[in-house]
Amino acid sequence: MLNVAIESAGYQDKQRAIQNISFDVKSGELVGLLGGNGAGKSTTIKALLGLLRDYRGNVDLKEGTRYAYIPEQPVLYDYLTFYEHLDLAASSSLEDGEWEERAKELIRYFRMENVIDDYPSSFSKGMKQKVMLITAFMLKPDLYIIDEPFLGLDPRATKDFLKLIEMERERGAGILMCTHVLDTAERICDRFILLSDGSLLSQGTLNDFQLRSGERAGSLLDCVDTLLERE
Amino acid sequence: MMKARLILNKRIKSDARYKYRDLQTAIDWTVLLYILIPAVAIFIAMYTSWWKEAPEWTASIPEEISLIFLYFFSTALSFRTYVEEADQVFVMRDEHGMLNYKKWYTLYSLLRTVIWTIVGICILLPLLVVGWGWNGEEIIKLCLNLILVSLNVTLGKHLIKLIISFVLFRLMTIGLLNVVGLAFIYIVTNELYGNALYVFLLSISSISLVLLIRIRMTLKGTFFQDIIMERGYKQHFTKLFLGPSGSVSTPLIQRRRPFLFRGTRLVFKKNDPVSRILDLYVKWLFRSFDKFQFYLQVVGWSLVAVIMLPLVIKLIVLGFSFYALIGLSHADWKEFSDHQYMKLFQWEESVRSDADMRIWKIISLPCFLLLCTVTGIAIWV
Repeated sequence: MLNVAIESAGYQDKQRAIQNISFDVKSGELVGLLGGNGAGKSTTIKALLGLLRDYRGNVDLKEGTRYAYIPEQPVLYDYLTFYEHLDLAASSSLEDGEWEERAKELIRYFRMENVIDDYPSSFSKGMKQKVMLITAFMLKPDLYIIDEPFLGLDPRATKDFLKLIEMERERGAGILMCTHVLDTAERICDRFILLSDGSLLSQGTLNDFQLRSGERAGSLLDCVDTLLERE
Repeated sequence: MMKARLILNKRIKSDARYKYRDLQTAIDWTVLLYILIPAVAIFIAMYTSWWKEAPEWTASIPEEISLIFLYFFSTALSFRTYVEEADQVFVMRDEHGMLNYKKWYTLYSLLRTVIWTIVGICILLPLLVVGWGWNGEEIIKLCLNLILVSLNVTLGKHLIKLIISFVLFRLMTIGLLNVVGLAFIYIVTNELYGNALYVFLLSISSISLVLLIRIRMTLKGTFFQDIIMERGYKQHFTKLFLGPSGSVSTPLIQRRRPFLFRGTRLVFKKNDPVSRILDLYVKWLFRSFDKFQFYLQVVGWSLVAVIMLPLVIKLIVLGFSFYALIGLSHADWKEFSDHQYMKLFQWEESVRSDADMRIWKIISLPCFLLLCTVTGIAIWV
C-alpha cells in the first residue's frame, strides 16, 4: 500500500534531518513509528506526505489509495465551526450526503454532540484532537498516517480511539502511527520502525526487536531502550 | 524577579526591533528612494513654507477642522501593556512585582500619548499660528485640553476593548466615546475659555482619568485578553503590509460560536463539492472581520473617490478598485486553501481549480458592480 525509501530530507537550512529510511505499510497493518525526541519521526511523516522542500527519495502509494493525516498538533481554522470543518474535509472526496451519517455517528461516538456548532479554537487540546480524529475516520481512507494520537486524549477517548483503529484495520486500512506511548504501541502494532538520529535503527515485529536487543522476554520499552543504548 | 521597569524596557525595545524588521521587509530601497525620501523632502519644504505664509486653503476651511485632525491624531496610539504569555508562570507569581509592572506600563503608555499629542500640535502649529492666527496662550490651552482628552480616550478605548466582548456593542461604545471626546474638545476650546464651566469640565475629565487609571490597575481576569490585544499591536505592521497578501495568521478567537451564518445553513443552493468549499470560504471570510474590512475599505474609499473626483479620475479609480478587489479575493482564497487543515487530505485537483476560477465572482464582482452603478449614477447626475 505504501512504500517509502527516503534518501535524505530536511528543512530550509539544508541540513539533513533524516536519511536512508525505508519501510512499507501493508493493507490491514498497523505499523508503529518509534524513536526519541528529535529522532526524525515527524520529519519522516512530513517527507512522505510531500510537505518538505528539501527531499530526495521515493514514496510509492498504491494507485487509487486515499490517505488521511492526523498531525501531532491539531490544525484548525479559527473561523469555521466543528461541523464546517467536517463538511470541508468531506468536500475533498465524499459524495453529497454520504459523509453526514458517518460524521454524526462519530460525533456521537466521541460525545461531541453539544459542540458541533462551536468554533474548535475554543476547545481544549483533547477536544481539538478528537475533531482531527473524527475528520480522519469520517473519510474512511485506505491509509491513516497518525502522529502522536494520544496527546491530550482522556483515557475514555483513548480507548474509543483504539477501538476505532482496530475496526479500521479489520476493514483493510493501513495505519502508520508515530508514538512515544510504547506500552500501547506494543499492544496494538503489528510491526515497529525505530528511528535514531534521523536514521533507521531497526524494524520488525516485537520478536525481531527482542532478538536484536537480546531482551528475550523484554517489553517493547526494554528492547527500544537497549537498542538506543547500544547506538 | 527582574525589576519591573527593566522588563518593560526590554519588551519595548524588542517590540521596536520587531516593528523595525517589518518595516525593513516592506520598505526596500526603491520605496525609500522614489516614495519616502521625496515625500519627506516635500513635507519639510511645505512645512517651512507654512511658517512664512499659510496656504490659501486655510482661509476657506474652518479652523475647527484642525481640532478633528488633532483629536484623531492624538488618540491614534493604543494603550500598551506589553504582557506576554509566559508572565503567568513567572511575573504574575510576584504580586508586588506585577503591580509595579502595571504602574510602569501605564506611565509609559500615557507618556507616549502625551508626546504624540504634542507632535500632532507641532505638525499643525504653522497653520494654527500663521493661518488661523492663534496666540501662544490659546495653543497652550489647546495642548492641555487635548492631552487630557487623549489620555482619557486612549485609556477608555483600551478598557472598552478589554471589558466588552460583543463586537458590535464594543464598536458602538468606542464610537460614542469618540463623539463625546470630539464634542468635549470642541466645546472647551471654542466656547468656554475662562468660564467656570470650563474649569468644571477640566476637573471632571481629570477625575475620570484618575478613575480610569485606577480601574486599569485593579482590573483582574483580563490577562488573556491583554495577551491577544498585545499580539495584535505587535503584529500591527505585519498585518498592515502582509495582511492583504494573506500571509498573516488570524488572531485568536474570542467567540465560542459564530455571530454570522450560525447552524448548518448553506449560502449557496448547490451541494456539489466546489459549492460547499466556496460556501465555507464565504462564511470564513465574513466572520474574519479583519479580512472583510479590507473589502469595505476598498469599496468605501472608491465610492468617495468616484462621487467626488472628475470623470477621467472616476474611471481610473474604478479600474484600480477592480484590480484591488480581485487581488484581495485571490490573497484571501490562497490563505484559506493553503491552510494546514486542507493539507491533511488528498484533494481532487479539479475541485480546487474550479473553486479557484469562481472565487473572484463571489465577493469582488458584486462589489465592482456596486461601484459601476454608483459611477454610472455619478456621471449621469
